[in-house]
Amino acid sequence: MTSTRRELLWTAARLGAGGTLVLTLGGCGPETSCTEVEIRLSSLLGEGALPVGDAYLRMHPEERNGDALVAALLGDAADVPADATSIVVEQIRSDFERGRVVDLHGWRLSRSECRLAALAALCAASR
Amino acid sequence: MRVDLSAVEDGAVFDADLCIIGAGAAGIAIARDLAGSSLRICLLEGGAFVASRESQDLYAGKMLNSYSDRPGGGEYLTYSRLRYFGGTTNHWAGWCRPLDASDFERRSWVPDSGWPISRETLEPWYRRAAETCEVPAFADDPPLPDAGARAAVALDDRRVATRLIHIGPPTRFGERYRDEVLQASNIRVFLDSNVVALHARESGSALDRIAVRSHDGRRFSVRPRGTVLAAGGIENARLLLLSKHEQPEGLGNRHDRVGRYFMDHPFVERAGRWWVTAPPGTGGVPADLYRRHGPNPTAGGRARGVIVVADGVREQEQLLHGMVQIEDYWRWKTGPLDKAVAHVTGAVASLGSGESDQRVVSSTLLCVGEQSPNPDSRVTLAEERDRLGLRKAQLDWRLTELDARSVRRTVEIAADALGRALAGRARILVSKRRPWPETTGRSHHMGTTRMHDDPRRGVVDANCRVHGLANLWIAGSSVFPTCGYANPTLTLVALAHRLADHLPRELSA
Repeated sequence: MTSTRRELLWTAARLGAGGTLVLTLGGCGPETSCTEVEIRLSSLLGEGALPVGDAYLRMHPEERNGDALVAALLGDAADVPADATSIVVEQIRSDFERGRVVDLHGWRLSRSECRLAALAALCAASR
Repeated sequence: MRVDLSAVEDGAVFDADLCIIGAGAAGIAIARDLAGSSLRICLLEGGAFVASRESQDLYAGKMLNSYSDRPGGGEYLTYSRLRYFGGTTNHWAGWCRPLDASDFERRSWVPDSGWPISRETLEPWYRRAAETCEVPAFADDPPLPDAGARAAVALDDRRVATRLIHIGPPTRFGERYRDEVLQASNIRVFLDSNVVALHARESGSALDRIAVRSHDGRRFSVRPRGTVLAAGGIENARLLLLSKHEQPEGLGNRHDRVGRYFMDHPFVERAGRWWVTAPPGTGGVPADLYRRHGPNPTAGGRARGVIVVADGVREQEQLLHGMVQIEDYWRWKTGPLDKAVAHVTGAVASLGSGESDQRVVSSTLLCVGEQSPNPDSRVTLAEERDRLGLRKAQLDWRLTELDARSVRRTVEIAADALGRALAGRARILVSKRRPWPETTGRSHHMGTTRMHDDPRRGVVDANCRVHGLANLWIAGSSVFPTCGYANPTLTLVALAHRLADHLPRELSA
């Protein structure tokens, strides 16, 4: 993915969180298979997280896009970095610090962990 | 010594230097402090040494709303207090903590906040109160030693702090201090003696006589040089309002403040469900530090940690105080999404700690809020009368939007702190749309004779003397202008000790 496209997706994801823009620029979804990056990221939480991902995507259908989710999670990284785990964990901590939380039927979750779960749900659906 | 009422003639008058009305925590604390002094003291208690239906029924009154009633648990005015020697300490849980220093300060976003005294002023009496309540003295919340090893979480950061509640035996003041009071040669204890009126002198500037009636109809009076009204947060106001003989608006009520500003701690028992990560080797639900009645890590004895929102965040978000407790006694139904959140909780904790298979267990968040002072939340007199012919108390307990918002945000901020610490995830159950009546009170009756230097804004002054009356003081949580989140007993006992030190000087003047 080019940096230009990544920026666009990142913007789309951010705008999409507000429910104002829906993009389908490819990446994994029900009709496509997951990329290596998406599979590696989605495996961080495991299959047990799928109901969280499904619920999140129902609440935020504009984020039903693997590339956008990856961009939202990893920012400008060209590939899954070696320290992806610590990046994601820090992002989750930071979400709670900065109020980037999601009310998922009362559960107060970090937006990043919801996006990880959403990625897992998309990959599972594409299999 | 105990006075034998059967030997008291109808219409008898007892002279005294000091009359204490009520033998609850405050009244007994003052009596003990002045035992053996040169003051001749009468201690009047409406009940006996043990509970009786006859006495307890006199607490029945009228509620103008229902959220304080417990389903199947009876009516708030009756179940939330006890009317016999020792008062409500006969069923309290012994939780002790001073108000925080910030609780005494004026807050721009809390109308009518601010005490005329500071936490520092009260500090010496807090130490004595800790002895009376049989808990270790409080330091300034010292760092918690080995918290990481002792607890699943020990939260202290920019947004939240952990505070310790010391848990007493609990001290039943009636049982614990009865002999001490009875053996004092300068104290006469009257049981089954119900105060029916406080009579002021004609000038209205001082109390003259206290009219008393026993359960069997005997009438007598006490004519004291000074009086401490220590009958509890509702009865203190009621007795002043009932005493209309010389002042039609009630004693000490020239500015219509008596009975107003009633506060209890709004309590949401299931404020949130919490999936908590359990560190290896612990019992799961936050071991020790936050556990109900766990060991006190700073001072010996028993204590429990609670989570509060940091002062700066409360100021920034304009919130009242509140504390979040963690309990593990609720059993929850667990649906697919709940299970998935538990999975995510454990998975993220494993990513953070590097330990695989992080165990996750279910727990519950409870929230005890501070209620803001509200003049419309008040005790008045009902039309219905009790067995003694006195109008019953009527309580219109009113909570505000600020109270509701503060409880919800307190739980949310605590939940975010738990999330940030990778200690768990919470489901918030405090409703946004209908925050009340999902709350009940904590049976802490406060504020109805509030302390303020200005007689137009309070009933008592900084020394607990009723404005405009030279010889009437009030003891108990009814003098609290604001209530913080801590249980009120330690503070009301500290104020009682302070008053006991003050009275001999006043009465010798």
